[in-house]
Amino acid sequence: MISGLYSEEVMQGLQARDRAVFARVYEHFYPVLFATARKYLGEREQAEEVVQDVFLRLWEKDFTLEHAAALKSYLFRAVINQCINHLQRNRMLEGHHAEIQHLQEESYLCTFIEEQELRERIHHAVERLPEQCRRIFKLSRYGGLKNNEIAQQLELSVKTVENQMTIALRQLKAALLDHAEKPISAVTRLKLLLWLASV
Amino acid sequence: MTKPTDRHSFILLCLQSPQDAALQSRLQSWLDADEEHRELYRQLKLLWEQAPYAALFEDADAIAATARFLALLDQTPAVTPVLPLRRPRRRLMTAAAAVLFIAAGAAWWQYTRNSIQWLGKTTSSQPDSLLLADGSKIYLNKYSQVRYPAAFKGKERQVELTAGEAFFDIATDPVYPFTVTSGPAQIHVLGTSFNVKAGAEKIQVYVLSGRIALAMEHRPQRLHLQAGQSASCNTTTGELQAVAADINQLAWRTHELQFVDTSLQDVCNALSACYGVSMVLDPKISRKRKLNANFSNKTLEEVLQTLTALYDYQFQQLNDTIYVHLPVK
Repeated sequence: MISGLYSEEVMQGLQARDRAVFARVYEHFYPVLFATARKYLGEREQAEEVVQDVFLRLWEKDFTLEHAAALKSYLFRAVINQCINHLQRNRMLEGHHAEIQHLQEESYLCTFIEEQELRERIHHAVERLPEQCRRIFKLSRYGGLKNNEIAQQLELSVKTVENQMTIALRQLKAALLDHAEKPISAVTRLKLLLWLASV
Repeated sequence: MTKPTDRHSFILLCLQSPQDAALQSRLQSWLDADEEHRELYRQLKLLWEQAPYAALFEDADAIAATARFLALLDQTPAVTPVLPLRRPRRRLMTAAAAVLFIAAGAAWWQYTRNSIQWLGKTTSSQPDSLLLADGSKIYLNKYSQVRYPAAFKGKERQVELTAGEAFFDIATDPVYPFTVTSGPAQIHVLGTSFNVKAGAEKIQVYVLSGRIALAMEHRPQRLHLQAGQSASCNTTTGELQAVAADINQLAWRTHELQFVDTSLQDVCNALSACYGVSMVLDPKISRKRKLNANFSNKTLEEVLQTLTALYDYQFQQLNDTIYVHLPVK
């Protein structure tokens, strides 16, 4: 996380409608916000539109935040509200709806944001895995294939697939939980541990 | 179960087979044995369960998305607060503001000019395509090269065809005109699709849809082309000329070849352009013999077989050269 994004200058830049500041903030938050919108709306175009709308409204109206650090939760909340509007308009699945409505409560939102950030870090770590290892891991976890199905599709032995999956998991753990490149802040680490303990 | 690698694969196995009761009870006793085991299991389980959601980040291209957002911003007038100025100092303030404004403008212009990150794409023996930040597509023929900015900044979108041939499918955006440069030739676009072939002596442009304006560097002449029209720019004299459009101009991309009363010479030229081969004709053969044929998505080999049957000549391929000669009696 770029700590520099939660500063007074960034806040003032947003309020003064500084294009460069908007670009920086947008680029930084786009992946997590896009992934959030995508989780509920499914379609890429819709998800991107939601993120664009949220930032365009920031640009168009005068907004104030109590403090700079509230920026992240403000953006998430705005994206989630937009998704709810979308779902209401299209009268999509009730279940989905309840799940997202749930997120408007503060305590859930915090956990959700942390989950999203962890997912983003997992995504980056997966992208850094060696090629074959990455393909196998994605087929398993993104595609939901079983080891023998992956072995068949890639013409490998099941043993190889198992080994590569182990390597992937070990590397992800090393990258994210042991000595993360972006060191997790002490608070996040504590929360993560508390949350891990509750899993 | 002592080495960490074994631990990892054991946990993986347990995560993958939640229905295996025997395995799960083995896991339970392994977890009960040691706090360290429980910690490792918690961490791997967390990664395992969260990983499927990481797929949502797969096509979150923040840089391209930011470029699209900035393009939207520029169409959105921002309400800027006006600060009241005190009367007596107003003139001075205005002058100072003007100076500042000009300086800031110049600095910004310099900054945007210098800060564009250019990327290049070069193809060798395979055509390829790329998607620009604004959603425009470029299809590159073999042995071609384009330069394009990582993100479009400022008031115009510009790319450069530095070698070879490319087909451009430009996303419409009236606010940001799109310019393709190729050597001295400049093609101004509002949203259309067209083909550019950059040769050493001439640059050929063919418009498939929409309209473009064609100009040469430092010259006032402008040539407007509509869908289906074609022009050629002479790189040495700087001359622009509308030319009869060749229906097979896009064949390298579409693999659709149409020959209507086409002379053998022109058939060979079209094949050479479409498949990137050179043609060598036996001098004894008449170049004038006409052909009527349509080829849709055929491999070069299939086309040559058909041609051998239609003309009574032999079309033989050796690497990247096609030899046309009279059949051996």
